[in-house]
Amino acid sequence: MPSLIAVLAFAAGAFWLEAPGLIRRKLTKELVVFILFLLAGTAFYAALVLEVRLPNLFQIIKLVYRIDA
Amino acid sequence: MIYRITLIGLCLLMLAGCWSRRELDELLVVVGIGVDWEEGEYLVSFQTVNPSEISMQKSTSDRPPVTLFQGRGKSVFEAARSLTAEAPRKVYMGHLQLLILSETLAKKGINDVLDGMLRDNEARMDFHIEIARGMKAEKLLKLYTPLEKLPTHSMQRSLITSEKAWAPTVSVTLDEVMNRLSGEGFELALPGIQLIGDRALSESKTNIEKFQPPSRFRYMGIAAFKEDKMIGWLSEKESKGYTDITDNLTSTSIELACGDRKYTGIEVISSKSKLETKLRNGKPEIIVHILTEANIVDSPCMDVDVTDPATINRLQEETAQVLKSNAEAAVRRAKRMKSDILGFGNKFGKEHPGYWKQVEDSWNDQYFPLAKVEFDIELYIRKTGTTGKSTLKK
Amino acid sequence: MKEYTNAKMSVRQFTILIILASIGDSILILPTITAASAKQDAWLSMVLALLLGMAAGGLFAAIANRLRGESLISAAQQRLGIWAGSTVSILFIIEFFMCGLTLMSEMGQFMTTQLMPETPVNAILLFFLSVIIIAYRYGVEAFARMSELLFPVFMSLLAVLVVFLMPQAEIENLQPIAAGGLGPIMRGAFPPFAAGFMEMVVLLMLVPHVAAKTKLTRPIISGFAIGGFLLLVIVALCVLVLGPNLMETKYYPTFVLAQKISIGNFLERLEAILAFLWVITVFFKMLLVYYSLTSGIAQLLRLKESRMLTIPLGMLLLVFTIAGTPNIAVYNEIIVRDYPWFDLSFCIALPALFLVALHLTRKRKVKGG
Repeated sequence: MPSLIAVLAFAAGAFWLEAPGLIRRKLTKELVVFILFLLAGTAFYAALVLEVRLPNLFQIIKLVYRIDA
Repeated sequence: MIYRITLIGLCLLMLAGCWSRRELDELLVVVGIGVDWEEGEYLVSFQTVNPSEISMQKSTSDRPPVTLFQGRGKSVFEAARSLTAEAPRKVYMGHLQLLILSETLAKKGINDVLDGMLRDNEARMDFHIEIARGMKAEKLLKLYTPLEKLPTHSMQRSLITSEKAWAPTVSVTLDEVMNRLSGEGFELALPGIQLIGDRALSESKTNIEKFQPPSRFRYMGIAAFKEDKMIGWLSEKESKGYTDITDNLTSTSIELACGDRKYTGIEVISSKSKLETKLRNGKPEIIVHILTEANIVDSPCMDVDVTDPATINRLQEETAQVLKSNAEAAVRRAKRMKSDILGFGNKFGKEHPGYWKQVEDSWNDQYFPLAKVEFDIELYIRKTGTTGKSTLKK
Repeated sequence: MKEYTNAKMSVRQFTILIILASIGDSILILPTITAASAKQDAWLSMVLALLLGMAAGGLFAAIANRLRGESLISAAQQRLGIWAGSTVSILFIIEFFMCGLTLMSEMGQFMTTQLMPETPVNAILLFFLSVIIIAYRYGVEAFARMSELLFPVFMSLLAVLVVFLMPQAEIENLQPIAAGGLGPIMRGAFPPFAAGFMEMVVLLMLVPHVAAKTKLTRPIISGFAIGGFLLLVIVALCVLVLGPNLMETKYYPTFVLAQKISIGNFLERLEAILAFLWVITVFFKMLLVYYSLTSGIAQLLRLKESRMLTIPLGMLLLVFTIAGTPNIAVYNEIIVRDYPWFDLSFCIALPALFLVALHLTRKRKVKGG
């Protein structure tokens, strides 16, 4: 639970750090992309902290490339 | 501005210390480990340093310089952790100098103990390994030694010096042990250490209160292994041959009889050995080339004129004979034990890899005992000390 | 895109970055992997990998020369049209991301295995990533200059390692030479080729920042050559000093090498200082990969700025590194068996196709008038 709050706080901090600059310069596309990525990052990080099983990307490589798997 | 401040703050936070830090007073520095096998468990003795007692300033209390902690467990690691129930700190293996294994453990097989040592990230590979001869390893770690405050340091120094100065001792570190146990064609051999004198008094300070301590340690013999199990002890003569053939000999003393209970003393000052392998008709042959330089250090016999070149030649031949008989004894013993501790197989592997691939599995039992071994020993006596013919009247 | 092309690094800085990055994380675990296949001929595997690497360098140089001052991703967008260009770009970005995961994994595992076992790997990765992000935000010029600064430090530490270990080298450890035939040597050459040279496709993202009047062939090839040579020296040193058995057993043989330094009973236990060596190379490779990843995404989506992507991307990298390395056995198996093939397809096959496409589009442009 505390780690989840830390993750959310961290994401909020990142948002507060970057967003004002983007808003000020009216870079809407950049802002949207930033928010999307930040949401993705926070979601995954929160999943990690809450011990939700995340896909192992290396296993995907193994599935694709292993001939005799 | 705030960005900079947070950056600096982060840096300070990160640099101030790390997660895994252990302060010096949290370390239990282990200098020697003894492993015994008792009733199906490992009995591990850790000789640890009392830092205040070995400092240069005068020690204020009467505490001994080292403390022995013991733990039991099914693995060395468990034993190490179990002793935190007795010891005030957790062990730190970074300064380990000596690992003593009991003979019973060696005969059972040392792979299990060594695997743990290899995997550990704290222990390094530069500590020496020995076999406790005819006794439990813990007894050796309880010995109070004179001269050096840390007994294991004393033993280790003795081992290193003895290896250079006295033939039948060889010092082996963990990485060499690892190489021998992983590779083929070179079986392991470890030095043996023993407690001599009055064992009962070895553990107390009274041991060093006399001029000659009643109980001392001594390096005796070399333990021969097959795979990771000990199979026998080499005698002194065989040990000398062993160190000679495996190019571990730096200096030693050889005595030649020159009269009734009088011996000419020869000091070997350098010795290099090389193995040459040959395949004749598909049968393995080895030639051991030994090149030795020596000096005459002791000449009690009056009829041996050390200023006469002919005498030098004669002494050279006799000394070479001694070296040859030592080496032959070592080879005979190794063949009888069916264990190639001399590294002949390893040399075959390097020079005749095709042949070696065929025979490596049965080398120890089949091919090695039948291999023909010849010796080519060149010995040169260069000097006779600072005097020529002795002017002492006899 | 103006923000990108303003920052310039000199050719020498470019070369240094290539050298440091091609050594990368290979210096940590590569000798073990190569020795597992080739045993005492690991150095021969390395020679073979070096030759292959030079060929890869030739491929990258050919692409770099055709990019005409644009980065890989932006060139793909422009020359190949919207659909093909975006697909190629996305594929490259996937490669950059996975490469970053492997580097972070290696770094974390090394730290927690050898130096700081009780530290949770999250903390180490977090700190490492923070420095990378900060370095990126300062811009290309800054970290190019840093590489120039750290290069002499790196070379002297390496020289210390080599020189101080010379007394312990035994030529006999190289024997028997090529006893197992060419097969094991070739098998052993594949991982170093992949990790050290193939993954250097990231350098193609730095092309717009190099202030070069001539073609980029020379810095790239010489960077590969020097980096590969240094790797060869390390692998050879491992074989000579440790012997093939030890090299295969211990996970971080270069660390064992550093542990073995003992000069006159005085200069001992230097391994923590030499850990700096590895941190430098892993850091720079990770930086290049991270740079390629972040700038690549920005260029793909035609954003005017890439700085805001740094933190979210960092989070994603962190999370998937931890998810990807549940234990060292799983990770190692995949890295040794499957990952080089992934590298082959994304770092050699894909760029080769791209080169052909560049060639074709240029011709088409010329023809079309």
